[in-house]
Amino acid sequence: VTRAGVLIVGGSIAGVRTAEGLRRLRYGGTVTILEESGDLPYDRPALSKQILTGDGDTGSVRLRSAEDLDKAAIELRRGHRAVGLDTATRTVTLHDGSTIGYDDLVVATGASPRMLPGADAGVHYVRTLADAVALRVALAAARRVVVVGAGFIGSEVAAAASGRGAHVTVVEPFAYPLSRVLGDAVGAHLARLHAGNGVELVTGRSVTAVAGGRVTLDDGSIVDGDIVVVGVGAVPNTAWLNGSGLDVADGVVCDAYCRTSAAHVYAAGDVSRWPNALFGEPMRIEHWTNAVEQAGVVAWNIANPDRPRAYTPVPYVWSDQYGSRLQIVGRPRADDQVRVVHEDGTALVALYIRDGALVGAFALNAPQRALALRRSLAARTPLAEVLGEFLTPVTGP
Amino acid sequence: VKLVIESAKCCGFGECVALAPDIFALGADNRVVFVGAATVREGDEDRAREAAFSCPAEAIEVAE
Repeated sequence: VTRAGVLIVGGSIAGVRTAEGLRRLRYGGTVTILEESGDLPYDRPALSKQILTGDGDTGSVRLRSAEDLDKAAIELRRGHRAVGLDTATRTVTLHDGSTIGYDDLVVATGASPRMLPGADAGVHYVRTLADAVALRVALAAARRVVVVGAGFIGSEVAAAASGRGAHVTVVEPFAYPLSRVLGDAVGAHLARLHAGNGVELVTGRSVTAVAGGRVTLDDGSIVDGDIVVVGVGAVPNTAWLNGSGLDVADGVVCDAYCRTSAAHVYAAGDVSRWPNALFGEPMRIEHWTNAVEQAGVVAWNIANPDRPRAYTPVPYVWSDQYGSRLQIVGRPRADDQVRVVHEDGTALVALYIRDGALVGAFALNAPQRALALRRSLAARTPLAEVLGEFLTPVTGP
Repeated sequence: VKLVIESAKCCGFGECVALAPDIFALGADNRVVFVGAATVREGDEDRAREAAFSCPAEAIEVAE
């Protein structure tokens, strides 16, 4: 069954970008993508944004057409689900029992929404294009929307629903939106963003049950909605690797070059966990920019195994909510020293400082600053120098 | 080759600016603009293609 070529499991952005990267590097073997769904590749960031707020046209999220892939000599096999991996014989087993061989394998199976315990089957999650289209239809008829989780997905859904005129309640177990990652000061600012747009926030409360639109909280109180949307994180799709011997621990464990514990097997995107030498810590990142950048490195390392490149990105994620743009760069943590260096009516910039060094930043409606800070993080610019850019006499300390 | 920037797609990631600062710059509105002409000299074509491919937002097109 062995055949020359690269086999990529997962046809989302990481998989597609790896395939295209290989072709750009003039990789000469076959490039095959196995995709579980029947969909052509599409872009996920819009699923919780434009797809919910727009007119229902899904064409804009299309990543590549069948012709695009043909032209690049990339074979996309839709409706093909990988269920097993044998690294000794270099074969992947498919759902129908057939096998396909590889010279090099890329695990790009992404992540799935974390299920909310105690929730009935009527709740909405947002991961696939079908999820987003179904939610859009449901939102059109909903007057009361309950969102569980004030992370990026939950907040974007809340913004879209409130923009469509629904009354929205967001339930979040932490004290503020994103405060688990960004701390309370920035979280409080984001809470005001929700409140200022008429969205009700219920914080410090967990959901114990959801049945027929009725959401029960851990203090016994009830929030009723016509629909309930859940965004409580994602878990990497690694179940199909059980028994393969591949090192898996909250993602597929890789080295600095995105190589897994098995020879000729790489991992890219949401599913990959690798040590980022720029930050000196292992990371697994469920964001679009990471999928794009990591795919480029994996493609390079497959095409140039004798001179591999370490993957050392500055993590970057953005979110659009209520007409505002949120950007997080680097690796902020709630227990970092948080220094708000800019604040005006609409914009906010906060630096995250650990052991005297800049490790991350949050920017609200300050894209130039976010970009500059991303560069500072990549260059490991000394903190004093970074602060110097902000602490001009005009803004004050 | 001739480059086309689709400004509406640009998110200001700055990958292209990092790879080819002589070709791309960030404009005042945080979207990418050309430093000079949109037509790239022969010797710069590979870098221009690399910058276009590296754009996460796919906002740079290379017209042959």
